[in-house]
Amino acid sequence: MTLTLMLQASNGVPALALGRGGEIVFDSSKIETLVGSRDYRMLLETGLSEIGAALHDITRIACDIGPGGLGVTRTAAAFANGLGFALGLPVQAVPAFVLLGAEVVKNKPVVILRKAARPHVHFGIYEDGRLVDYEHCLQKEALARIATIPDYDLAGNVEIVGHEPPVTNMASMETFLSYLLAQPEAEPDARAWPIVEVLS
Amino acid sequence: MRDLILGIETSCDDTSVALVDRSGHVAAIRTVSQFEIHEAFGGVYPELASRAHLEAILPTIEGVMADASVTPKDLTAIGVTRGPGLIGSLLVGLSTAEALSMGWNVPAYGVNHLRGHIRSVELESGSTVFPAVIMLVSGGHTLVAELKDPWSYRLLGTTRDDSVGESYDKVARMLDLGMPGGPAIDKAAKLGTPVLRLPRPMKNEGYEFSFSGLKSSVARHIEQHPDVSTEDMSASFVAACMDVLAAKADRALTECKPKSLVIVGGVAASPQLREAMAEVAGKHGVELCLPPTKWATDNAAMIAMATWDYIERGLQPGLQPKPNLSLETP
Ligand SMILES: [Zn+2]
Repeated sequence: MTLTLMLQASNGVPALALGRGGEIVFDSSKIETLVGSRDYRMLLETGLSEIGAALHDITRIACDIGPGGLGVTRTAAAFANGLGFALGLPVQAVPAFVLLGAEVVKNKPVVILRKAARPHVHFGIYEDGRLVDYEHCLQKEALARIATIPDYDLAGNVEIVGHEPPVTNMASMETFLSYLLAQPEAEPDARAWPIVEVLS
Repeated sequence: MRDLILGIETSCDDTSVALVDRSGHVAAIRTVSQFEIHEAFGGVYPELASRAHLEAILPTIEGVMADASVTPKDLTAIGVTRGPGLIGSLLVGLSTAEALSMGWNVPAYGVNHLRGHIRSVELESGSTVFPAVIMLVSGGHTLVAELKDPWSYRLLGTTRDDSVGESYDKVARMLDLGMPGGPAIDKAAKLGTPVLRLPRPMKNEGYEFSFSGLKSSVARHIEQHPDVSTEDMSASFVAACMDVLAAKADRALTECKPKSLVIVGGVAASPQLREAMAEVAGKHGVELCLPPTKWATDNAAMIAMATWDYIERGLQPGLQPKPNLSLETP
């Protein structure tokens, strides 16, 4: 049975989950005392002990690569990459906007906006089961593009005047795991490289 | 088991990884410089520094282990800088070390970077004669301390503003000498004469340093005399710095009566500093310990070396970043 380790941190509230086969068996974001902890070692040890597994039982590692909080995303990636290196496993890099799109999508496009260094934002459109557009751009440029979309759901952490607030800024670990299971395994030496802002 | 420490240093702008045994023998070291990344900014750009650390760290660790044909089973511990330093840069080293420690089942120690500098003297068959007065002068730090033994640290004084290295870099920029500023100023200074009267901040009081006033008076002088000789300006600036550093060293040797004077940090590469300190040490009849330049600048071998002290002392500081860690905290 596969045991998948997932790290999601780019929304600023780190979470670690374990999936056995297709089922989430540990999710730190659901445990009040563990919510937002950046102590990945403690989270992982807690999770493994709760499900009665050992570190070397892990068969797959995946990490959210943002875009989002720069430091928090990078810290999670450093931990995931280090663990992958030590255990001889690749680290599958998962863009946060793919997860957010898959989390929110129903029957209309999902617009995803996340804060970046002002006056920029991270802007994405998720449609037909994939991220069809992603840009790190000026907020006003993103808003001009969004104004041309007749109907959409909103995700992320930026509000748009005249639209419902964002549905969420974090995907569930169930969404994360089912996304992963539909993907091919990563290349043997794959690592998580965060999506970074273009610094001007 | 070969009883090696894997040292990891990412406090500023170099990713450095080393393997060091108990005697201070460096089995392997690799340091990836970020100089080119930051050159255009005229200083270290923290966000870019931590990105570069993330890219470099695992290949550097892998490379060092391959260089020395070492497997995780050969490691006694991992020692990683926990501070002082840039938080984003520290976090990359610390998170990586945490994961390796867990994955390899090897203990990890959060090491004080300043203690690393001080223990750099012990690398490659060097040794500190105790009790000692230590002067740490680099781009990031300026401090003077008394060491009765490897664990009894007494901080005598540190800088209130810029470090010596920082003021070298800033003055080098004012004089268009290029980066890194230290060697450029030293070179220009050798061709000049220290004829300009510059202040010697806090020379006659205690152990605290302050270099920003000196830097400002250089700026004022250049503004008022745009045709000033670069060489004479450099020579005058270096002379002022050396005067202050030598006065503090002299005061510490008088008060502490140690057996040796130890100079560490990147500025220890300066020939003018070496000369000035040799004179002070000679006057007091104490031994002068100057590690080779490669161990004087930031490197992971010194972090690994300091880790042995923690192990012997039974102290295992955690892996939380401490950007403002002081010398007196382990
Ligand atoms: Zn240093």
